[in-house]
Amino acid sequence: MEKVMKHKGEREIHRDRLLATFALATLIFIAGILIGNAITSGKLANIENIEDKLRFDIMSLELESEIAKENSCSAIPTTLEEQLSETTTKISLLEDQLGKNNPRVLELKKYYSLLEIRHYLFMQDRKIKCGDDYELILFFYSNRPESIDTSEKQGYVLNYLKDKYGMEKIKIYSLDYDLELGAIRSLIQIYSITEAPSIVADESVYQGFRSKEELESFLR
Amino acid sequence: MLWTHAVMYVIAYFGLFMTLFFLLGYSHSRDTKDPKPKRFPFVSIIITAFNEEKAILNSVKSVLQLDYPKDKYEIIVVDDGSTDRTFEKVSEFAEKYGNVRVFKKKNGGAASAKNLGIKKAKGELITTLDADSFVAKDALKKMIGYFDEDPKIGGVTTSLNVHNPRGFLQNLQWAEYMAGIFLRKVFSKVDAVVVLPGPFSLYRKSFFDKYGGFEEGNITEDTEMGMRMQAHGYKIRNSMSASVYTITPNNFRALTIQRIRWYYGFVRNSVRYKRLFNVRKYGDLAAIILPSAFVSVILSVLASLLFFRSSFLSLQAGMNKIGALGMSGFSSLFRMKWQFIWDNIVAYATNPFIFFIAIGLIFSITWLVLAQKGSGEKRSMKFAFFCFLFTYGFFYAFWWLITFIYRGILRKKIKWGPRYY
Repeated sequence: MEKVMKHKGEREIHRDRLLATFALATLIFIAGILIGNAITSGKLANIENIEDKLRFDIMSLELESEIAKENSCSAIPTTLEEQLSETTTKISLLEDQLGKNNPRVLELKKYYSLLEIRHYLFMQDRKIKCGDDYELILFFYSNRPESIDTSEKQGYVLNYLKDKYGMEKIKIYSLDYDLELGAIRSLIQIYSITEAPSIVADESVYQGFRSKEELESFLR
Repeated sequence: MLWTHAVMYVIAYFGLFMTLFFLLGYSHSRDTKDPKPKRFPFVSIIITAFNEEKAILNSVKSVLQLDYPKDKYEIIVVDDGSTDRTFEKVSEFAEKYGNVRVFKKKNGGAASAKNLGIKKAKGELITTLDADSFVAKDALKKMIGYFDEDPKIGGVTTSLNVHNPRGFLQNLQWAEYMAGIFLRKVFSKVDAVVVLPGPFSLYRKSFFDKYGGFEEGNITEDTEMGMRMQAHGYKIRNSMSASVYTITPNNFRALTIQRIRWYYGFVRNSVRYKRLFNVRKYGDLAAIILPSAFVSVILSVLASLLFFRSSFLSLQAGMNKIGALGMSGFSSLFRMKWQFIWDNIVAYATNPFIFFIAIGLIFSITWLVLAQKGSGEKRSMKFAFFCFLFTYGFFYAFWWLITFIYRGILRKKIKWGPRYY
């Protein structure tokens, strides 16, 4: 490096050193940004994979419900439920990293919501038809600043109940109140929901935050 | 792009640019080795003390052991109005040595004590030392060669190291001093030294004769002296292998008081010598070194605020959970699933900034290791480096914020405080 830079008279700006610094710093910086972008696009590619899987799951669920119509009350597809909860974790991590309003994340959430609603309807049918003993809960949350805190709190309470009573007894379907998705809008209309957080359990609607004690008494 | 990301990119680029500038500056061939002295000019060593009866003799003894012709240096001890037995102790000791003289004056601060010493000094070169600093045997010999290189060299600084560091705070300072050793050499190579640290910086007496001694009442008279030299076109060099060891504060309060004095002193003297920012006249010092000092302060404060903001948000989420669930929420914080923990680790490891953090760590370690090698430091510094790399940024930002609040908002006066250099 020394040979490249001529040392001019003292008390000057050493332009060669400055240029070398600038070039090297910019190079490393660009490399850093490229690596960052590669990591981000890796994450975006991961979103595509999740989406593909969700699409596949939606179709598979359609088929399962068709088969269930014809047949008796055989085993519940529990692996799908586990996958649903894993996908929830992945989506919330992606929201943290790419931002809650990232278009790709929002699109992924739409697929995920479709699958959730499909699963909800399927389980509702089964409950009536086979007399299964579980609670189905629709949870409408919002990421808008005025309701994000209470929505998060409500989420913790629901998770707590799910952990306490087990996935077999309580099935929670979390839906973004603000997501532009026809199916969600229809549910909001059907249950006349006007705010988030809101909970629909057993066809009853509870708007605003509900503590764990309140919810437990409803569920009983 | 989120605004926090934009700020982080600015910090990353600035950090990269400055570290590379320093590393390239360091690789410059000039002054890599100390020039061999062609002659041994007469040197006056001024030791100032205020109530230092316990430590003063150690300082005097360390100077008496210097590897330098005995008839070529004198020791002048100035007691700055001590109320203990400092004066008596040194006077007693001095009787045994022909080249030690002791003076006592009314208490007036470090600068006034040094100035009395300068008045009494016979040397062509003058250096100062305080009672809590010790000099390596070969330090003086390594420094004097620089003065013969150019009559415009007004001062030479040392490799200021930490004496016997213990505990977290002193280890943190030890690594910080190492970083300082590296920077001082870089600044020496690019003609941009503006601070002549109190312990054992060596001055050309003719500069004092022409432009006066230390400014009394200036809270960082060593910075004022460095800036004054630069302003008058004098140069300051650094000998990286001339080791001087100083005792550093061992409690947070004393350390913070010291930093408020240093930082505020630096700002005040920079405002006073604002002409040093004239790029045409002062080259790299004006274009890069001085502005970067101020930019680094702003960015380090921003970076720390960002860090605390994200920590606060996580904490808030935790509190929210406890708020929603009571004690069962608290216990659920500890019942996290492995998958969740793993997902979070992966999320951190694949953070786009991980590359910049890694590069930053590599450069910082290179910087510290170069200083350790250059100064001949043999003690193991692993713990010190660890403390420094992971916490120093926050302390640095904190001290600047406190300085700003203390002086800028509360308008409190800043004095010399405890006698740390």
